[in-house]
Amino acid sequence: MMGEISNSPRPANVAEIEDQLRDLWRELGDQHRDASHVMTRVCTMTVIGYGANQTLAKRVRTALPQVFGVHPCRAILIETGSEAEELSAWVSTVCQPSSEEHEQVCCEQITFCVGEQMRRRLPGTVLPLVVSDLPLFVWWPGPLHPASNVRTQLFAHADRWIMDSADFLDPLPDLARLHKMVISDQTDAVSDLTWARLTPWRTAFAQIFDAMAMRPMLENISSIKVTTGRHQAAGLLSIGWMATCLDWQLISASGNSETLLCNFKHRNGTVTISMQTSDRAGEEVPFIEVQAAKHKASITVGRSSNKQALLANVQLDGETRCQMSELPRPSDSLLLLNELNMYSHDRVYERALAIVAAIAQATDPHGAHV
Amino acid sequence: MEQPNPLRAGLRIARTPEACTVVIFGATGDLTARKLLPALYNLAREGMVPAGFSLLGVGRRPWSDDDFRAEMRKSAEQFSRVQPINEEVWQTFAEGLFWVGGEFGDINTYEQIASRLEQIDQQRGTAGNRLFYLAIPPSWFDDAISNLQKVNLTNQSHGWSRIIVEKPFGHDYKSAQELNDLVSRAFDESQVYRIDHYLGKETVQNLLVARFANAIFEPIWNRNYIDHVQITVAESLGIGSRAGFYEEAGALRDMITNHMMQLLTLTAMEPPVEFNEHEVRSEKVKVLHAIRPMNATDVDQFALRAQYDHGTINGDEVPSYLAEKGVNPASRTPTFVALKFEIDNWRWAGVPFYLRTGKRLAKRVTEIAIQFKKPPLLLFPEIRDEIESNVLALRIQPNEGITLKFSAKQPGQRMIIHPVNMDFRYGSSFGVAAPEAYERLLLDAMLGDATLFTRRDEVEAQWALMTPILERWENDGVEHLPHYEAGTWGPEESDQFMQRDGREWRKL
Repeated sequence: MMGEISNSPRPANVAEIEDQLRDLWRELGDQHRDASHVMTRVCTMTVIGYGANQTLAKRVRTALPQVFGVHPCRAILIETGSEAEELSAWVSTVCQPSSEEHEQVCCEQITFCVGEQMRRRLPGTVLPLVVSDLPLFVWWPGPLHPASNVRTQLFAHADRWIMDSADFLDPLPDLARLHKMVISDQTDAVSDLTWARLTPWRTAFAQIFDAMAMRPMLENISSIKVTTGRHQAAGLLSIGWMATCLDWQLISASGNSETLLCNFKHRNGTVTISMQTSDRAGEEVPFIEVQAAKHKASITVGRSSNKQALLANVQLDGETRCQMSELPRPSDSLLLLNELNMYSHDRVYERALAIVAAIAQATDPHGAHV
Repeated sequence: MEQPNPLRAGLRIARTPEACTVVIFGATGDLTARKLLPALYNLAREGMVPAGFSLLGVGRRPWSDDDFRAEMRKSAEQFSRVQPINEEVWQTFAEGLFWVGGEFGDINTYEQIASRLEQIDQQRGTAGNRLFYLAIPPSWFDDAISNLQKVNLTNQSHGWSRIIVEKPFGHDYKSAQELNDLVSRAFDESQVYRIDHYLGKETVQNLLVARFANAIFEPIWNRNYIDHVQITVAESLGIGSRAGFYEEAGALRDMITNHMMQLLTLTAMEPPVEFNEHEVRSEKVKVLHAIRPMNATDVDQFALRAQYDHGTINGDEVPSYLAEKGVNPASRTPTFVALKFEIDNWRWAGVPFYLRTGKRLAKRVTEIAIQFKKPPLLLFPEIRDEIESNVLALRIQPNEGITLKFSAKQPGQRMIIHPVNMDFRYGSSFGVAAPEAYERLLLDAMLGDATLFTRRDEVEAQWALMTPILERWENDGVEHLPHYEAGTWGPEESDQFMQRDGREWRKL
């Protein structure tokens, strides 16, 4: 089977990028005129990836081209952090075999390298390159720094922004800040790759309660112990998720991003949640232990011992039942692939974020860190 | 009404079934190895089946549970669409695999099944939920269903009990009714899932999305704008090793009665008020009831059959049907069928639906082509005859997609008009592999969603339309059976069949 056909990025005049892309397509067509395969140019969306420093730029450069196979698009990579005071651009085309026989699906990539002083020119340079009337996704990995003009402009035009709260330096107050951003701009949808990593974990936990026999236990949860790995934001969001789905009201919270103790009120009493950081949990999904004293039941959900699968264990009336499902370590590109399928608000995420913001507020009532 | 699980809110996987046991009759067969087991393993791998999910294989071999697990492991390794097998997932999945050996006609086998299911319920929390899958020849259905009833496995006093029946659902109207009667003696219709894997294909579901998730098609999807509809299921392959089956079935039973009638009803049905099993299936049945039945004279006029001769496919010489291994040298089994149906309702009155299917045709292609009427007034008299009708072609396989043919002016001083295609292909725009049809259908059956399964009245309505054709062809004797060269688009009579109506088959 034929592999990927791509040309090396070609330097482009920033003012003539569309023309230069047109030339590239013409050349590509000429080169493959007599080939046995068909080159099909496809574009279903624009995806902008913003690398705010060299490390993040590398992350964007690695992941973004990998979405072409599933989401043919115009990709615009912005690499900042260069010392040179420049705004330079490269254009390239990437063709990958499609599921159709003898067909290569071709996408285009525009890369900008920007020095510090030239960043202000980015919105006016990038926005005209967004493909008309197709969705615009902006992926902005890295810590949550104060708003800049570039971010404000790009987010204002995006249908969806994609962040990763695992990159946040201090997740508890930073998630609260993110919540403020989300509620201040109700029109745009936001994706959080940490939330996306939690999806199989949430599914495994939810699945336990698909059985009607287990449902009463949800109303009698007495305590929860959450152990997170390096990604504390995942632990915080998992608490927010349970609280919002089960309609718990926050009574009190103390601690910080690493160690946390919260109390919630629910219809039949209170639930105490403790969160701590440990290597025991997988990196991206927490390990959770749920007790329902009235039912003499306990549930654990987390990565299996050799970390290749997700293990959900239920102990009820002295019997143990377990379910194992595949849980590969998701790469940025794999997570992006899923997020690019979503166009609308994830209201459950936004409500979970609101709970985390409330916890942050309770642990820091004067808002010194938020 | 059952309260939804609050933790499911916003999750991308909508729902997983309750813990249950799938009982496969004929678990040593090809269908289990190639389709059913890999589908169930992949559902487990993706976390779509719950803790406690169990699979009980039933067959004649004197296997132990471990033998069955070892065999199923082999089939997962060979036929799962995702490789390699995830060891941890397999270990947990395999713990839920069990075996009962015995004859399908022996009541002892069913007593063993009942006792084993009770054990599984206790050990694995499957709570009396059972899905029986008849992956056995229809000649065993009577024994299997009657014996299941005798050992009380068909009632739903404790958990649910459902049955999946594989096609063929009979071979004519009478036998379909008999089969349905047999099933309904033991199971209520709400417990019965008649599986036609064609309906589990993404492509068929895409047809519903194309029609009902786009506002632009509905206003023109009727007799005011549509001239006729062509549905083609063409295969370049011959009958392979299926001579025994094909000699009995022929092209009409093999393709038209199930697959092509599904395509027809999905194309012609009214928008259902809801996407659920009752509404969707009811709309399909209404279409079948509106199709004008044929009498013997109609059959001669509106139905055509033929058989392939030797020829060339993809540069290789291929034998005639009569020279295929296992075929009666005097066989008159049709390998090509063309039909014209009229649907007598307000939407489709006067819009014929042409169906054609055949083996050893020029290439493999399945499509539904909506052929629109020509413009009412042609402004370009000098090229009036050159303007082609608009065609919306829904390509089912291969290269699944949607193409709209319309006319465009060639740049220049002269008025030259060319037909051009606006082309969308799923494979180019969505680079994701679709799940196997059986994964979707098994999951739906476990969830109790019968939307993509065939209802009793639908099966019988299909056979009611086909039986006069079969009777005419099989009982009245035929002086002339047209033949066509393998690797072509069918016999000359097929072209004449369309020319009589002033139309022609699409060139595919």
